[in-house]
Amino acid sequence: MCTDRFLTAEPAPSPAGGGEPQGGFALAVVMVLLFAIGVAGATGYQIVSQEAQLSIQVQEANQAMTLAQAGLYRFLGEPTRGVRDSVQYSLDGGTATVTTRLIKDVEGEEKIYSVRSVGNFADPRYSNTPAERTVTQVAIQRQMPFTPIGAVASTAVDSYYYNSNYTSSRSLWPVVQGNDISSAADCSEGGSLDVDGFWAGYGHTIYFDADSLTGTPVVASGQGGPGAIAAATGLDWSLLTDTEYPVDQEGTLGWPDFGAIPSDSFPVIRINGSFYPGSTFSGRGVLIVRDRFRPADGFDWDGLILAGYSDYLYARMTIRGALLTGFGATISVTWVYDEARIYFHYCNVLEAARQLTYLEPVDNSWAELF
Amino acid sequence: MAGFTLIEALVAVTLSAILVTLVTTVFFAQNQFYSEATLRSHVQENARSVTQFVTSELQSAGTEAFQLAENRQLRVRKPLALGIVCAIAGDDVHAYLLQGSENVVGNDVAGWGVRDTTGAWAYYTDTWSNLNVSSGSSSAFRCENSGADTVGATADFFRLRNVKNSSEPKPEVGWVVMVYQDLHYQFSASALETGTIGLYRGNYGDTLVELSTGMTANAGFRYRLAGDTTFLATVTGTQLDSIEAVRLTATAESTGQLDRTGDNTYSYGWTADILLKNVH
Repeated sequence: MCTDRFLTAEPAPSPAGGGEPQGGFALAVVMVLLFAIGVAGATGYQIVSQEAQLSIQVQEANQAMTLAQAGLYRFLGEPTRGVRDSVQYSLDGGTATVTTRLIKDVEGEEKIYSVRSVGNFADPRYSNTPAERTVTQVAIQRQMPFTPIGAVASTAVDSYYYNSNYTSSRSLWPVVQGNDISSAADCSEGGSLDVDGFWAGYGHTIYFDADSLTGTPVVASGQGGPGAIAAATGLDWSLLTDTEYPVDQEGTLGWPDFGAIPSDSFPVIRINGSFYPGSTFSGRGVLIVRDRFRPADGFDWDGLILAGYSDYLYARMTIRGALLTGFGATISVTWVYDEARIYFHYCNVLEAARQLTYLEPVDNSWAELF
Repeated sequence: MAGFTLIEALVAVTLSAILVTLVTTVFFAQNQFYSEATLRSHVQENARSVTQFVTSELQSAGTEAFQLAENRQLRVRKPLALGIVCAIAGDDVHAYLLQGSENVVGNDVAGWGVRDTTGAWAYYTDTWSNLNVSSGSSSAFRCENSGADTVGATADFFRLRNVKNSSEPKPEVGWVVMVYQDLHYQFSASALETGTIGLYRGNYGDTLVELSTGMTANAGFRYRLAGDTTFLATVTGTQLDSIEAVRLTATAESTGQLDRTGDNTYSYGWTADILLKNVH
């Protein structure tokens, strides 16, 4: 007998405890499949997440390596004097900590250092797991970062040296000596190096009497302009006149009291313009004059003077070391006459030059530390 | 007893079928994504790890380091320890080693080299046991006499025994020295994954170990010479001394289940230029 109730089931209790009974399997299937999808999704997310984490770690490690390398290059390349024990740079969201260790320090020879740079970088999203890479390189501290070329040097088109009382008000004659006046009593290298009396960039006409202009040779002319003197001396004029290049004294304000500071100190002093020093500005060390250098009566200096250019050297002044001019410009004439006294003093030049030492990386000595 | 009518049952079955189809489709799509993600992860990680490893090994190679530079293989003197001579006593050389000796495996040592002030390297075949490299207060003390700062770094100063008189030119204080490995890389048929190319690594003359697998036939090295802009597949003769960069090129493949397009292979190609930092 046919009935409209051919399927029967136990009535499921309604949620409210009454109503029509419910039955079926779709919900169960959907629940099972949703669970399976959830498991697969979670696993997939886990894999993708791990991959993303690995990728970030690799990026962090690469960034740390870049920072370490940048720190090393910056330390070795930035304008500086001497060797610092430790310095930390903040670079592009991370840091590079650079330290040095002295490896060799023999009297009279160049010092050798090991320079180590540690780059540290953390992705801001995972700042508790920073990456760290370390690179190292050997570097030499150049003790004599330039070549002495003369008691006086100029790149002027004409460099005139007059052994005569050119102006009627003066009674003495100029003296320029390229032969070393220092001795072993001054320093172990004293008396060991003679240089040109007058190193002339072009020097079309030079008048002199042999008695008061000496050197080996007495005169070297036709050398060239600012580029030539920079090449001959090995000095980087743009570096020395860069305001970032550290000096002991900038300008004339607060000029050192040379009677009060240690007698063996040779400060580096830079004048960012022209300078016309008299006795007030006498002293010792390295004097860098960016533009015109024209000493006045009473000026006395032990060491090295480097100037953009110098036109008149006639005052009653004395330099024991060397005066190198013409790094900044080629002028028409440099005059040397009357009472200028310039003696090449190798010990003073050496001591002054040592204030300009810098680190130079040694080829084939780079390594990464693991 | 309550029950379903035929109409109710048919509607329920139809709806269930639609739901099951939808859910199954989503499930298999998810599964496919999972499979692809796994493959992608595997291949990319393989590429990344091998690139990093090779880069870290080759970047410290310096001038005159390459002995073989071909598309499918290279042979290079890799510095295991690089340092600076700080004292000489008799036939022994005392040096500050930048990396220490922690990473030096005795069996890997193929010899030592010294670089004179002109920049030229001289290499000498030797063994770790013969060099008898040792660190400690003795070397530190000798280097201290040369002005070295040894405070807290005694273990970084080493002695290389019996090397001075066996070499020409003879090392001097301030020269760069290294203990090197004769490292050999080679692309050839993979033993781990048949039908693909593997990258093998080891000491020259020894049985090489498969470092990475699953690459295609285009995998290889190329080389750039100093002053040049192009990469060469092979470098020979005196040009070996001018290599300044190595390019590693490879395509990695991984095979999984068939996707909807009928493809079951995931490919990932990459190129890494390795600048030799000790050449610059």
